[in-house]
Amino acid sequence: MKQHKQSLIFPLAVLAAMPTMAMDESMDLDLPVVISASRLNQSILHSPSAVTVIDKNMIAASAYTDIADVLRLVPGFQVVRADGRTHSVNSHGGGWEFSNRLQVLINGRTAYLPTLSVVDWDTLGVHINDIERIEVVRGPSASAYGSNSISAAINIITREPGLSEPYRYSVRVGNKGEREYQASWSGQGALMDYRVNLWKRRSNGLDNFHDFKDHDNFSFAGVSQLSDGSKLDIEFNFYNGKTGAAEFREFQPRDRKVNGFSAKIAWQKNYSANSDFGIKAYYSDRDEDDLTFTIPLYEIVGLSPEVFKLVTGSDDVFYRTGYSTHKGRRADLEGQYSWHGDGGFKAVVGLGVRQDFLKSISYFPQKGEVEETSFRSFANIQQPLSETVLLNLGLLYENTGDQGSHWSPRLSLNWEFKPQQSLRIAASQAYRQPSLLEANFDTKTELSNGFLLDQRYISDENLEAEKILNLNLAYQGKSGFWQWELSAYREALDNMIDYASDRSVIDPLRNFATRIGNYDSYDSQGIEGEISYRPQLNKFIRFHFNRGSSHHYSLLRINPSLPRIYKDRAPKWSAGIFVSYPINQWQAGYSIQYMDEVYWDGFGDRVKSYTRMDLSLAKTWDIGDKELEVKFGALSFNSSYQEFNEDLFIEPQYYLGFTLAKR
Amino acid sequence: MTARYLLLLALLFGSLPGFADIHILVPEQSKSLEAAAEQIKTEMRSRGIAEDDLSIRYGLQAPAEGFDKTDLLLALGPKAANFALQNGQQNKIVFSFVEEAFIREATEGRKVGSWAAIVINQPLQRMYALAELLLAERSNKTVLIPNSLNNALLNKQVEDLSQSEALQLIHRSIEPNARNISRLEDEFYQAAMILAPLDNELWRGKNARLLLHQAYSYQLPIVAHSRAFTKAGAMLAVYLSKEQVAKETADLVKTWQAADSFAQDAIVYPEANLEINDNIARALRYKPELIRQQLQQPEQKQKILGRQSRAR
Repeated sequence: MKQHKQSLIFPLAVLAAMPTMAMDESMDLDLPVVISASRLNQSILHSPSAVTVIDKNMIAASAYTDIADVLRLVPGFQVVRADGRTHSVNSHGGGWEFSNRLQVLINGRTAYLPTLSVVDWDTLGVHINDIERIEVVRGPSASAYGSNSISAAINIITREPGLSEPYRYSVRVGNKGEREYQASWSGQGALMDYRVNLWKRRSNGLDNFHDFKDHDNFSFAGVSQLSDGSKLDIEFNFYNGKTGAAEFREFQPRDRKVNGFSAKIAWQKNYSANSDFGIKAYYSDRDEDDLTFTIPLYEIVGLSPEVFKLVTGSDDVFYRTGYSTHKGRRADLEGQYSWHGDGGFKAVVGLGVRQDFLKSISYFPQKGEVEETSFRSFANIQQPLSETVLLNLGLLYENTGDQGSHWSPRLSLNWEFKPQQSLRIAASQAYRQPSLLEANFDTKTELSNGFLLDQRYISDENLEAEKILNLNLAYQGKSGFWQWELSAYREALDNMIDYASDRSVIDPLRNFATRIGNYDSYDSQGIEGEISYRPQLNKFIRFHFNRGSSHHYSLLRINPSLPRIYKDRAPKWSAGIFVSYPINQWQAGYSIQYMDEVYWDGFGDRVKSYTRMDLSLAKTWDIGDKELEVKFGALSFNSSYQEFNEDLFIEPQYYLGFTLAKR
Repeated sequence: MTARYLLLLALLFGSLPGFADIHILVPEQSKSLEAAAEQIKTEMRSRGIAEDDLSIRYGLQAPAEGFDKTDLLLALGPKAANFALQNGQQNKIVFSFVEEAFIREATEGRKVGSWAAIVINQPLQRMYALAELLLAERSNKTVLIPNSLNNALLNKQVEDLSQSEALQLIHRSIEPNARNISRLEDEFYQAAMILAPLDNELWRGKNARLLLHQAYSYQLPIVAHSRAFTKAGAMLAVYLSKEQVAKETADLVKTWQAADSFAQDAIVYPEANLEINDNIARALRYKPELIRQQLQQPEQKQKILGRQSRAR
């Protein structure tokens, strides 16, 4: 990939003042500053971690319509549809439907939710067509981004608002109830460049499962160059909709309302030729509501209504609760200062504070609401040790009231032994703070007279942060239009937070509670890589693979303990080939992906190996200053297969999309 | 008879440049051109041009009786150039601090040999030669030259260059706006270097910022025409200083004074300077010290930075 892994460049002063005379003029123009996924402007060859870049041309060439699906192209990643509305994205296995060890950033705004630290890929507030590129930093990046950057950091970077088409209208229609209607407008104004996007997306989900999704989205992005040379970014988005929530235990199939919004404002100013300061604040709010009445409680208990009343002393026949009913919000403020010196030295330091809030009558009915404030400071530097050897050092300090303090360091040495080819050896340690829900779970069924009928989830009082240690050895290079990366890794995840049945908890139902604690450990190792030949941005062939092994020590039960070891939480092999080829106004894309057998945790099962093929074929017509594109997409067209759960099949999906855009 | 000889001699010597005035025309309220005029005056004095022959006119007003047709008009900047063309139709004119495209258009139809111009452009050939030197050891020898659609001069210069086989050229002539620039990404991807000659519509303001942004995203060095660009992220600039333009202008005036004509080539590109942004160069795997060293070699120096001229 020729593309630099950095995300944005800000020539520090606006060249609007450039003289008409092409002469030596004394001008206060500064050097460009680049803010990258790891906060330092570095080429991939100098990066302390393995990085995969998926740009908009690759996304356009693929048949994927979901952002999460695009990540199927990342070596060592497993992307599954746990159901029709839930994507689970995992790195090196060990996953379940609520993947929670990823840092996902939308232009620097954290997207994981304060419940279980999971990401809802359907409500990111970003339309897939607005993405400039996705940078995936594989392995821990906590030294740059803190908690949750434990298995990977995914930085989704959208197009500069002023560069989008003046307008774009699109419609997509497919089987399985797939429908999307989208309209966007962008412009370049004296005040700011902006983009407004409205879209409605719905899909029926998987067959025979109540997992539809239906969302309305609005997003706005604006960039303003201020008169003092600084830059102001403003983004906000709203979403509103509902999804299906399938039958589970005492919950009947029902609909879940999901709505929320987020807003971000970032300001950056370059103070000299080699330094800049930026400050960023964002706020996000989310509300999920699937409150419903359970089946009659006496049925759950297996008693007659009369006996139930006699035992509990309560007339309650139904109990109103929700599986995922909560209000969550997050506010974050961060400042960072970066500079670079002569000879390749670069550094960034910063401070941040975050407040998470969660309110739920289902998760912790006694407390009702919880909140947490965390502070962080970080420093990352790049220092050349010689002409060919580069040292990267990173350190993040994070303090959370209940969880105490943690230091997350990262160290790497990059040796560029030949031009455009380097070897990297890196080690990093990272922590993941328990999410608000993991730390405060206290789910119980309590009748109106106070009778405790059932205690289901309880957080361990001594819950600690998960810790991962990662070692990485990599060879990467570029020659002409070829680019490759081969990497060997070893990861040890300790204090892994998991759910174990606790037989010491006695309640009238005697079905034992599930306790959340640091019961597990997970090790993985292997080799992975990617190689691509790309003579043009939309003409390429790309191969990626992973050969790995895993060892999951899991405590299924405590009091007394019942451990189990799994060695198939990660696929032994996974690989993919992605080809894109343009012919005149046609563009064809084809991908084939193989995934070995995996035993998924949570609601997942052991699913067999599978091969899926995806195909896209698009043709564009120029109509004056407009473009009309018709795109046919076929997802998993070769077969239906089980991806996560043995009862849920991923069936072939087809769609036809029409896009009219002004150039 | 004697009287007729005296009259003939008077006419002859009266028409010689040594007896003519040199009017340096400078538009009002243009401090940089006023300073340039002073600098040119100093350079002329150092070349033995008598102080009495020089007059600097701040403000563009012709003398009441008009310019004597034997006088030389030295016009600084485009406004003064237009003024000189209108008011000195019989005069010889030296244009300085002007853009090549402007002066070519403005002097259309004017008699060859009646004018010469010191232009502030960098000839594309000069930038091309520099690119050739920089890419000599690279496997990718593709150079991208984007310019605005209406820049006929650059279109012509690129057409001339495309006959050269040393480098592979990608030339894109575009309507200069951000969206069109962003559509050049495949060209950016394939290129090994970008040339940024003077083009006031494309390489200015927001457009220039975006081009620099794109170039850096694809780790491409830019060879620009102004030092301002190296401060804004270009790797390298070949640029002119006011001193060099002043010297070149004085030389041209001296030539006129000696022969009452200009050399055949009416467009003069003064000797240029080189500036390298060392940090950018190193980041893009170029060795700034080596580039400087290579440009010390007389042959390369003359080819890339040396004075050039071209017929109209």
